[in-house]
Amino acid sequence: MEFKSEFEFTLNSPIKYQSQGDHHDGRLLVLKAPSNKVRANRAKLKQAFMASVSEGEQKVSDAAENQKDTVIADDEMPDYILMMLYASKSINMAEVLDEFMNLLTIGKCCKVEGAEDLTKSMFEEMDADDTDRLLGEYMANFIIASFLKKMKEN
Amino acid sequence: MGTLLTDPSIVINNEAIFIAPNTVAYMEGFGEGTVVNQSAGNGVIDQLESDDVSTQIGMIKFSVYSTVENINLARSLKANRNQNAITLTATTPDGQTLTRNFAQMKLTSDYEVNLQSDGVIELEFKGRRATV
Repeated sequence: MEFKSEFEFTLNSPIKYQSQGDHHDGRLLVLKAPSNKVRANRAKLKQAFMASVSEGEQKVSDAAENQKDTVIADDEMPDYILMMLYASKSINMAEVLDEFMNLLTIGKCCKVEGAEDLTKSMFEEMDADDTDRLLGEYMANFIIASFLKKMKEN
Repeated sequence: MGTLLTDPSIVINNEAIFIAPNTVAYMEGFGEGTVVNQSAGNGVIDQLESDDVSTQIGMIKFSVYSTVENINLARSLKANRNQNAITLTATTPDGQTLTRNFAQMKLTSDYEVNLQSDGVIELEFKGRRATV
C-alpha cells in the first residue's frame, strides 16, 4: 500500500448537494487524510480494526499455515477490511459507521465533487453500500495504511 | 383521514438546521395570474389569461431561536447574498413525503433578533421558484 495524501472515490448512487446557491448531484468524492482534530474518531476506527484482527487471529490460526503464501492485493484490501469488521462479534458496526461519519464531517476530510465539504445531511443520504465501500477504502488508505504496509513487509 | 405536514426539515447550504416548530411557510413561485374578458359586443365575450412573470419568485420563511449560533448563521446567510440553496423535506407518519428545492435564495428580510426567553428570528428568503 502506498501512502497517499488524498484519493478519489466514485459513488454508485449520486448524492444531492448544494453549491453556490444551486442544487447538484454529485458522484465524485475527494478524500483527505484525517488531522489531529479528529484523532478520537480515527483512534476508534483503528482500534475497531485491530480488535477484529486479534479476534480473527485465533480463528484463522488453524488455517494460517495454508494461508502463509496468500497475499492480499491492494485493490482487495478494502473488502478484506470490511469483512474483518463485519465478521467481528466484539465490534458494533453501527458505532463504527457513526465514528466514520463524524471523522469525515467534523474533520472536513471529504469534499463532494471537490467543491463542498461533506455534511451529515449528505452522509445520511448516501447509499449504504457506497458507505461501506468508502469506509473500506478510507481505512485502507489512511487509518491503517502503516499497519498494512508492515503486514506486507513481513 | 389525512395528516397535515407539520414537522419539516430544512437544509441550507448542505447543513440541516434546527428551526422553531410551526413557523415554516413557502410559496412555490408560480406568480400571480390575470384573467380578463374581451368583448365582441352583443354579449359575446372571450377570456384571456396571462401570467405576471415579475411575481414568479419562490419564497420560504421560518424562524430560528435566538442562540448565538443562529444569530451568526443569519449573518452569514445574509452576507451570502443570493448564493443560498435551501431544501425543504417533510414526511407524514404514514410515509407521504414533500420535497421542495429553492435555488439562488437571498435572505431578503432585515430580520429582527429578539433577545427574550422564547425569542426567535424570522428569516425570509426569496429567489427562484421552487422545484420538486
